[in-house]
Amino acid sequence: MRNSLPCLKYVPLLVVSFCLMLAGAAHARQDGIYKNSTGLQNAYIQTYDEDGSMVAILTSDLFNYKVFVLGSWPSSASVTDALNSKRTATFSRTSDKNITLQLRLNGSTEFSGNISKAFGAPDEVVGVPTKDGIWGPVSGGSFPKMYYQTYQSTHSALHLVQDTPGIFAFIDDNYENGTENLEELGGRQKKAYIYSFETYLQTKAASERNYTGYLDIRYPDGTRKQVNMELKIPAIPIDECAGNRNPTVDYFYVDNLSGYAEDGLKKLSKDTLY
Amino acid sequence: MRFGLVMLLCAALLTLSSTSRAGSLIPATPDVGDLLVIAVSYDDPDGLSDVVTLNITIENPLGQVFQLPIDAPLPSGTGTIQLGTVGYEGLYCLYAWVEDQCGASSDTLVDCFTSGSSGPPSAMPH
Repeated sequence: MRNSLPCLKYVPLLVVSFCLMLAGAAHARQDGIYKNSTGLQNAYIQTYDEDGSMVAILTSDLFNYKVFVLGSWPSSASVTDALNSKRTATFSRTSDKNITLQLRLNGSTEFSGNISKAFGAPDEVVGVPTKDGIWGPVSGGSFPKMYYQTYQSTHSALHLVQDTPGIFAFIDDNYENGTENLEELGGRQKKAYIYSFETYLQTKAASERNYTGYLDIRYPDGTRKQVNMELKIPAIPIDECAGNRNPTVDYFYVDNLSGYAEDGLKKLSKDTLY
Repeated sequence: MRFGLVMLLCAALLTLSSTSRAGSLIPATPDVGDLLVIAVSYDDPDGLSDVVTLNITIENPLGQVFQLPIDAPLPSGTGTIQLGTVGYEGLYCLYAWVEDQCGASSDTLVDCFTSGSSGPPSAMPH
């Protein structure tokens, strides 16, 4: 897989975005990868549940990251960098595809301008609930924490793994084939490595995203973790009812037979009197 | 000529019966004390929602209406369900439709029958 995307190895997330330029139009929802016109700012945007909470992870070099967690995001909000209390960001949503971003460090403006959605998320596979969201250990520990996002058309996925050594970005250019042997993006001399990320859907209902998984990862410092993970905070899915067709009753009649429930139909109490 | 008309009328009635009862050529007329059994087949074609609700409404001769939502754990199902016991003589009408998790509903199908008193003595309704 890495050979198919050699340009991704030593370039910022912006260039990753270009290399993965998807044919499909950006999705109407807010989630996705955003960038500014010059390519100096790249933002991973993911929203959760109905309360409008949002995580934004910013980077320009795939080495230094800024993490902003917004409890709600009605249209504009300011928040402190979770990794650097001296930095603040103001996000103002101007459309489903555009955000005005202002970054301030120690009171001085670092960046001010528009960032636009380059890749819409999550990927839409009819009948398969998305795995997008924040993953964490089943055991309940904080790390590794994995921000996971899938993109339309190419079925690519971005893994942003946050752990004590730092944040590491991985691209899986076809997550439907399974995830294994992902080398960290960016220019570190010794890179993090995902040996495998396997996921399992625990329920059949499309509306429920009860996923578990297994993450096998090695960090640049040589430590290796093999962790049972679960989808802790699911991202807002694409409307799963888009394209839904009406169910049908093919036949229905009062029967002579004293039959029994079949094919999952529930048998009611025969003692009920009508 | 008269024989031909009778045959035509019988054929028409048979067709009507077959259509309205979806292939059930033998009318089901449970009497008081009999089990009320329905046959049903439903389908949620796209599988977007894996659980549909099968809604059965019963209107008894007293005009009382009972609505029975039945969680059906599969996107399609075929079978018979025992709903309960017929308690009164007279006209019963049953209605059935399904609703998926996206809130989409099927058309409502109706089947009616007139119960007789040949069954065992009826108990008082709950």
